[in-house]
Amino acid sequence: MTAPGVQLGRRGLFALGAGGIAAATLPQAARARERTTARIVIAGAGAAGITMAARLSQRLEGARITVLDRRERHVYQPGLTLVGSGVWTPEKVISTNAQWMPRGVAWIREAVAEFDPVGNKVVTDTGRQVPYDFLVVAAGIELNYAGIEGMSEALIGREGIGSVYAGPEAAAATWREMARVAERGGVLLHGRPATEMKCAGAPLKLALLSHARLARAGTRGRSEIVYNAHNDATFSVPAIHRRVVELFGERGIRINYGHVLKAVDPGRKIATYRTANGEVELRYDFIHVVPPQRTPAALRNSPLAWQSGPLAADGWVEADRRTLRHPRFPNVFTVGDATGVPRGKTAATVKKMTPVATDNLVDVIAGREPRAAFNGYTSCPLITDIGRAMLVEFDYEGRLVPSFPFVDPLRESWFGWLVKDQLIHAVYEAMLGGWV
Amino acid sequence: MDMLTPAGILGISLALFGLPLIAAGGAVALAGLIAWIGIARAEGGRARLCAARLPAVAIGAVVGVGMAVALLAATQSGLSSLNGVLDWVVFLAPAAGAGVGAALVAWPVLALLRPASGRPAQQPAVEGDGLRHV
Repeated sequence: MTAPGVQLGRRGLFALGAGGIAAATLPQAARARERTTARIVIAGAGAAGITMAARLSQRLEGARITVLDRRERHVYQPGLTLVGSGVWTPEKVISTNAQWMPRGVAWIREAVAEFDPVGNKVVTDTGRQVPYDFLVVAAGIELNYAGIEGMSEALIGREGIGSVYAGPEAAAATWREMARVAERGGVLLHGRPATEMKCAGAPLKLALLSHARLARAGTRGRSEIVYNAHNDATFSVPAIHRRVVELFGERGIRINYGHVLKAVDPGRKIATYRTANGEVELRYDFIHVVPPQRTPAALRNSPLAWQSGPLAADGWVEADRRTLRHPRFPNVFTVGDATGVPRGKTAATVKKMTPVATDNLVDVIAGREPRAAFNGYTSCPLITDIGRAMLVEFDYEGRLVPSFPFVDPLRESWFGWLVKDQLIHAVYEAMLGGWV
Repeated sequence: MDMLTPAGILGISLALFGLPLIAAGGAVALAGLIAWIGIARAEGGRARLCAARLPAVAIGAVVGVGMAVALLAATQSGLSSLNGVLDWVVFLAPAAGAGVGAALVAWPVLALLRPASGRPAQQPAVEGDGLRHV
């Protein structure tokens, strides 16, 4: 972790450089700030919460912005697949929330225990009541490892079990297990849960990267890699699904459709899957477990969650999918993983969501109707090998919407890998500062 | 794209390289430019620059190749990772840029370090006998 002095220094450098030159280069309209004394509470200090805090503090003058989150550590989650495949070290994805918290924003280091949108307040886990005029929900996702029988977070890195989702240490432990199996070969199981999940491309990347690691170790020939899709597709966007099937076919990765992980038995190294034809047991030497995912209990149990429909079961926050405004509580906006919209639980989504939510919140504060619209943009630099990736980007309708018109999103390229390995981390940090 | 706004480019560049490195690069470029102008305007400056031309090109080539190797090493890739024209352009552009930049910065420095004499074409012709004396 970075020393506090260095954190301030780095933030200072950002502010000095970016603030000075950007002020000189931004159009005047973009610099115009809305005056308000509104109390804005942001629940969550992950990528979405911090970016919203940065953007709102740039756009509003006089607003009292408070961020609520107990976590001191900030994790660059898009890098976890690279840690989990031994490409990056875990240190590369770890920083602190203090490093990114914008100046002038109050940070209460307590978690939200209760949302009370009727009373316009949240209650923290110490019992503190924090009233607000406007609420931004950026509370993230809860990984429900207990939703898989026999599985717990403590098992990651033991008995052939890996899972990059639980954090940098878990991702590093995943790599140790994968590397151990790569030395002699074996059966490697991959898959995803039936719930909504963050970065649905990550399990596919891990499958492809495990192939790359086995091939480099010379043990691919005596190994079997299986991807267990929860339904009848490897990915929800048909064009990407078809391409993944091609890639898996080229690499000899077998796909089982309609397999949802129900239980693991670390002692026997057996995974049990729920299928349409009953339960199926598969032996493994390495398994990458992706847990079922849902919103934190405080959100699930609150009136903010969808009350009916496919997103109600796991407590995803109800929102207009274009404006990101809560339809029943109009002073509430939602961004990030907890948002109950059909797509988009990636950092790239946060990058596109936060300007929309900021514009619309500022409009509402100013007494205008929200005008900005989120199109469901989700991006997943789909790593296909160490040294190659596909820059797939899509919207609500599943249309491919490439940022670079000269890049074929379904073609493996070193450029895609360069973007994933070198550039996106910088874009992410610029996003946290509210610059992109 | 919002990344291609001035603020976006600046923010990403700062995150990617850091202000000290960007400032150092700018300082080197500025110093090189000043040296260039100073030498070009000085007496015998053009001759010095001509004499330093080939060594500067050699330095640029070394830096360019080094940049290419470093780029592959930094991305844990090999030439076999490159897949299509775009990849080759993206791979060669920074190498070429670094090489040309290094040559342009090294050129005036080498011109200052090398003696002005040394090349027949750089000496003034002696009028009268129709021969160039070296």
